[in-house]
Amino acid sequence: MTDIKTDTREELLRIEGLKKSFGDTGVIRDLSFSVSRGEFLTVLGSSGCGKTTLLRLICGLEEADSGKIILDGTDITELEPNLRPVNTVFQNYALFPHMTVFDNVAYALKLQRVEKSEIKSRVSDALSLVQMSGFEKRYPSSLSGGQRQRVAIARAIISRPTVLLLDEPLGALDLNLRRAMQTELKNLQKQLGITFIYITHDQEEALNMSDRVAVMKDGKFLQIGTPSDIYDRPNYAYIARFVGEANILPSVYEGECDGGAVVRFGENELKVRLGIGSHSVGDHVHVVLRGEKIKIRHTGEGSTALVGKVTDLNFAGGVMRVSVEVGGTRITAMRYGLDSEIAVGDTVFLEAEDFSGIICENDEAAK
Amino acid sequence: MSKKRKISSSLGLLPMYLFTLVFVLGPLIFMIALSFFEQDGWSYRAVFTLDNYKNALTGTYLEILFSSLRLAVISTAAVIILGYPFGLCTAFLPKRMQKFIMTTQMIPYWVNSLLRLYGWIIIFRANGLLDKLLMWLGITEEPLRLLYTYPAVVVGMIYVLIPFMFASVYQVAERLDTSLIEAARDLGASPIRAFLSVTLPLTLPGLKTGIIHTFIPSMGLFFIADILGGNKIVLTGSLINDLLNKAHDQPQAAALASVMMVLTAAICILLLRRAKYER
Repeated sequence: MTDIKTDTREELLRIEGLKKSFGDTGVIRDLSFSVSRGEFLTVLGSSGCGKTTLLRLICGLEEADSGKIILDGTDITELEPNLRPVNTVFQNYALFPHMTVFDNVAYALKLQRVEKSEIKSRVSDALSLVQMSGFEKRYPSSLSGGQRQRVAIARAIISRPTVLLLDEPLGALDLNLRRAMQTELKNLQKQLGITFIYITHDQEEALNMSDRVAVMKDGKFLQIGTPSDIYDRPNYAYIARFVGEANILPSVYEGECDGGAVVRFGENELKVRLGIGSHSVGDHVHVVLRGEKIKIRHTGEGSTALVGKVTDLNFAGGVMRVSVEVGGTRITAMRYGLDSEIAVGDTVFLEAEDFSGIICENDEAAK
Repeated sequence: MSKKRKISSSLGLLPMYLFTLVFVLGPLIFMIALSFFEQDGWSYRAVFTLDNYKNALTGTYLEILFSSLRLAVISTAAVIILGYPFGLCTAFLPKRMQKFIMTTQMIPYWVNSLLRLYGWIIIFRANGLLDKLLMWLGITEEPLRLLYTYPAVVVGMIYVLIPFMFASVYQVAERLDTSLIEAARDLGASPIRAFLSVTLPLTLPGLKTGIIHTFIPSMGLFFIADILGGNKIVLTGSLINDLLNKAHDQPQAAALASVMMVLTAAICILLLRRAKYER
């Protein structure tokens, strides 16, 4: 079992100017990106953003209006789905109800006319990989959701596809099982060295499992990068809100400073990082500041502290979400551990280190 | 379920059971008993005999039984070939198209079936609509005289029976999860392989129900053969009718009916066996 994930960064799949409309609505709008061999790419987006259509275009169940899909140097844009070395784990698993677990998993191999003895050993390998050994003779109807999920994965990896597409495969599972499966899928991907393109609307899944995350909206990728890139340096306010919790501070750009920028938020001047856009003095900009980067104090030391009133306390296990209103903007800060010192109505001082915020493009720019 | 509810729910079923007992099961038992009785002038005598069955399974009666079977098999096969793809394809159309087809399909059935059958006479008769059309198109030069031929009877059978096949196939195909076909394609199946390994086995229950609803009536639909086949094609159904109403040989009619019943029951049992995954 070799980990070939990180040492080769050879391009495997390239999408060029892909477009797809249904009727008058453009679902995929001029999409271009590439995926490396052995990479785990997650396409993250809310429902209706076109992520499932993108996946169906890659596996050939949908025909592109224009653009190219190049896999391993071969143009597969026009290829029938059965001729593409790409397999899919469907959202509802799509297990064949009239076949046993064995026959489901063996399906692709039987079509390839693989010898019986080889089919047997490969099916049992695949089933043991997803911890479903011993279920060969069962029918899908007698399996639980998690078990079906595992069989669907075994069926899709049996013929060693170049790319495995996964369409929200954990969507129907409960939270605990979903978390366990996340780790398992990640390990499985490392073990097999197969390139995964994983579709989800769950940001936790995206950040947890992927090498890179592509955030999709209205048929376009807003940003593609490592999970920490996406979280820490979101290009758009939309991404900041979609991935984790974010405070968006409407501010005015005042100029560059130490490779970053100075903005005015209400009465205060904040030092923040620059995003992808360029701005001139006086421009209105959005500054994204993550809640966990904000410290709450009862006394104001230093001039950069924002002053506000506590409006809401939200206890969520190990974290207390404290909502503070600062000059008409609601800012949520995280406090870890129980804290009895803060009460609703208190006047508090919010502090964040310099350059912990970042200027983001507003959502109109994403269109 | 509690005992009380069990009793009260069986009470609700009682009238239906009584009705079935008196009007279905009773006559059936009487018919079977009758088939073992001796014919006596215009009536019968309660004396046990196997002669009726001997007659039914030899000579002309057997030939007629075979020709009934043959017509039923041919009609059912034709209905499968035409009705299965029709039902299947309709289920894959957009919902609005489906509704349109369902409605247009139903409209002719608002007219009495016998009347509709007489309509076919107008089409099939010498110099009728079909002949005129074919000659106008230059396909044939003289009337084909299709009325009172075997093909005319088969067309009549198909016409009457196809809705049953359509409905049962459509019902199953409509509930078919199309992502299963997509999964098959994704895993390397050509369209034909995907059909044979996924679509066909999963719509087979509908096809089987359709066959039952086609084959059984086609064994008994003698009036189609009478109307469109003249008196050239004699079927067991019309033979039973003649034995009852003209020859007044009730035991013989009962024996023939029993043979047909056993035949159709056997086919039903064969077709109704469920696949393993359905259990």
